[in-house]
Amino acid sequence: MRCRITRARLVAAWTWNANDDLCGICRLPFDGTCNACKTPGDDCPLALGECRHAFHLHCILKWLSSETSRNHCPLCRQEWQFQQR
Amino acid sequence: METRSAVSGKETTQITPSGRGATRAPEGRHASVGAAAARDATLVFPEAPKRMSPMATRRLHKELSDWHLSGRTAESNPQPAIFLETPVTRLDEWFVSLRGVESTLYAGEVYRLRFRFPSDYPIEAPEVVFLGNPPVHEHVYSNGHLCLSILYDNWSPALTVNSVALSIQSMLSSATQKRRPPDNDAYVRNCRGRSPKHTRWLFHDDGV
Repeated sequence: MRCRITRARLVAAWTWNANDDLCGICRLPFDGTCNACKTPGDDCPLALGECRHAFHLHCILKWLSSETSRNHCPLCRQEWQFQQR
Repeated sequence: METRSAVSGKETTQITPSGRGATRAPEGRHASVGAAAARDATLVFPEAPKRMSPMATRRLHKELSDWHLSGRTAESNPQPAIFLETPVTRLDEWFVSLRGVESTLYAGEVYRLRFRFPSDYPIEAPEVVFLGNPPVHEHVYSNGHLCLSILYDNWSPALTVNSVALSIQSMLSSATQKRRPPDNDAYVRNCRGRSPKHTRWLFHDDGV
């Protein structure tokens, strides 16, 4: 039997792959945006540290640029290094 | 389910938590929370002072609704050991009461903490002091200032009002004797009216 597909409606879902649901800095869901952004997804990506802790990229950058951070991960206080993939 | 409606004439947003777990539950929440939230008074978000960053405002709104949803406000019944004094009338200044844990030196005693939030909270730490009669403790000065590293050098934006209050409660609980810091009088005389955030703290023991 042969069939010809005349129409298809494709649906896709995405989610960030983090160990947690919420960003530890802004306390908002990873699948939403950090509290400075409007559109979720590539415009407001996640950042993963060598310590495997994830944050919204914008949140962790704000933290790292502050004096108090001393370049520590907010969750484990180890030195923050962006994970290279 | 959250219902939002603007209060006429004022720029406040009202959220009436009407229970049943429709709201996104943060970690550690359980089934009874919906009912606890329903018992609570209406949550009114106070207007954010102009100086507050959007980040600070949204984060404080989130924490405020978490306190309400978990039923840990002044109106909650039974009264929890740590509760937020409600209604919060200024977004940048909160008062939290904490009760000493049973079978510790502070059992049955109630203390008030004042949290003041900087414009870039949670990147910068809140200012936290005891009001009224501060507990007699080696890390608590008689003017209410606390020598607690997470409030200063070891602040992390992953800390919340709740986790700070818990740390302070456990700092009290682990005390083996009630006494003031050895340099209490000199310190208090010296810093009259100044914020503890302007003190250069030396943290002697990490264990407490």
